[in-house]
Amino acid sequence: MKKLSFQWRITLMTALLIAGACICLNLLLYRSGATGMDDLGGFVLKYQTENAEVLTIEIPPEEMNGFLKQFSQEICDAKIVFERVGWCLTAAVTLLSAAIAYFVSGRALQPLRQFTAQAEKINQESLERVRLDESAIQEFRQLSHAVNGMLDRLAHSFDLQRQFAGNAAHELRTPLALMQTKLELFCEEHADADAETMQMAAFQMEQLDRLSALVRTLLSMSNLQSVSRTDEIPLAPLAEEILTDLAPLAQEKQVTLRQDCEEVSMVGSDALIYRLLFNLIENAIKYNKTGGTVFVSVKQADENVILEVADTGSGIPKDCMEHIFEPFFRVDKSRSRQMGGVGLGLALVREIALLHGGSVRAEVRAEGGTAFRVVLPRQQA
Amino acid sequence: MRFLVVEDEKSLREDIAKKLRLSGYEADTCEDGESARFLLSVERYDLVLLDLNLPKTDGLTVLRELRKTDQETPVLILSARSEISDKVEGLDAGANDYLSKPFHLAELEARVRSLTRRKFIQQDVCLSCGALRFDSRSRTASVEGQTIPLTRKESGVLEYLLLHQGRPVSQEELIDHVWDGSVDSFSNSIRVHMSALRKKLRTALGYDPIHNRIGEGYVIEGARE
Repeated sequence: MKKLSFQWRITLMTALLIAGACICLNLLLYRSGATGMDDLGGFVLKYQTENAEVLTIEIPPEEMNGFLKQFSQEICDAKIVFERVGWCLTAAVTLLSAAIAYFVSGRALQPLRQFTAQAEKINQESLERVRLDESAIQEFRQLSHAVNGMLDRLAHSFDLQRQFAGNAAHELRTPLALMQTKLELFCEEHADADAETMQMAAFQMEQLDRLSALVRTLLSMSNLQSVSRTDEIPLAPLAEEILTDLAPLAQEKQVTLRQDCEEVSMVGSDALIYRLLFNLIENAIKYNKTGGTVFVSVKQADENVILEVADTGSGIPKDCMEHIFEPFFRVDKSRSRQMGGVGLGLALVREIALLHGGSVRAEVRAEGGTAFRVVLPRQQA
Repeated sequence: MRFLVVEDEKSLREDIAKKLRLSGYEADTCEDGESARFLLSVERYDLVLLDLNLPKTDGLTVLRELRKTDQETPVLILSARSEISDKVEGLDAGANDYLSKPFHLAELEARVRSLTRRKFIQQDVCLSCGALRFDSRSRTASVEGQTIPLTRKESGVLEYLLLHQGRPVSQEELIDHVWDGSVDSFSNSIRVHMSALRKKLRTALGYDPIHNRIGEGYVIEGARE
């Protein structure tokens, strides 16, 4: 019963109700009809015996018994026919009303369906854009209102979370700038300072650079939503340029860069798609083994483009696979820190892919290493 | 040369001024929009370093006011805002360059140099960066006497970057100045020419002197020691 849809429940309940009502009605009607017929029969029979001389029906007395038998037989037959027709009509009315109930309830439940369709849209689109229609029928009005209120609060807290990182990063910029300038000026003015002081200053400067990089990445992550995604981006030249950018790093790590890019273009934010592919390829070079290879491919698949970056590194442990796109997650903490990363590269990749309505996945390659696969729609919705 | 540093953060203002003086420039300072407006109306500066978040009158207003009467004086915006839209707004209001905080003093100095020497360097026929030479008259690039074969577009890009050393040059700026506005899908063809140029330079020099700073533009630099 629980799995039945609302429409079927209403139909079944209506059918049961009508069937019950019809059966009762039928039984009552049959009883009174049958009693009526019996009374009629009794009356005729009584009449004949009491006023024999007035009745003008010419029935010979020897046939009288036969006639009476036939007459009560007729009454009995009429009762049976009356009963049968009654049951047939009950069945017919019940079926017909059930069918009508099915269609009528379907219509009556239309607002519920619209409501569901609207609620489904909330899942797919962002929280800010979709709200339920509050002008629906009365029962739903309150529900819509409650759901909308909840959505507002959800969107608001998501916003707060996003903005918090942005605001914090923003507030850090001025003190960072102050410290950096002071330190650099100090080094310039005290070029003859002792080795220990200079070492200290160099260390501070290095850490300041890391902080600045972190602040910049956090800011760009919190600003993602406001970036317009209307650039026409030919992907092959983009990949070519990123490989040129990263050629010195690849040379230093003795990693070979290979590419296989189709002439595909997509619509989106040029700077963000650039950042996405750059981060993936940079990681693939950084975490590769010496003498390894990085394969970059861009392909078109129907309405999507598929960007793939595969390396021949040591791979990512299975249990880390689902966490690598989380902010500040690191497979090997000490190693990543040496590499100077801030732990936001892949998180940014995922944010950018999601923002463009796409997805990103990491797979272990059969021949060793990791393959990152980004699927992006060619047109923005 | 005399500069004006407009920055409300005392320590930063003094440090920037000190750095500029160490580099051989004169530097006046002021801490709010009102006094910046006053100074700009009575003095002539060779460069203005302008913060955007200023007390009394904000930096953009100061800049717009200045541009009503003075189109010449280069303005370098120093700001804690770094969103692309803020950058575009600043440049549209008439700024010549934009540097977001935090920055390295060396970077600041390079930008300052780029903004102040432009008019002198343009008279120079031979441009250089590290071991790379570019002869603007014959339009040839060379390394230690060896000519690097470049296409017309590649030479144009290289010349423009060399003329604006120390400052990132955006793709839009390259389109305006090297592509004579006759370009269809811009980033596409710029990227192709740029990648080709960088490969040639890398082969000839042994390193890639052009760096791509995402969201800012291309910078040409000598070899790092």
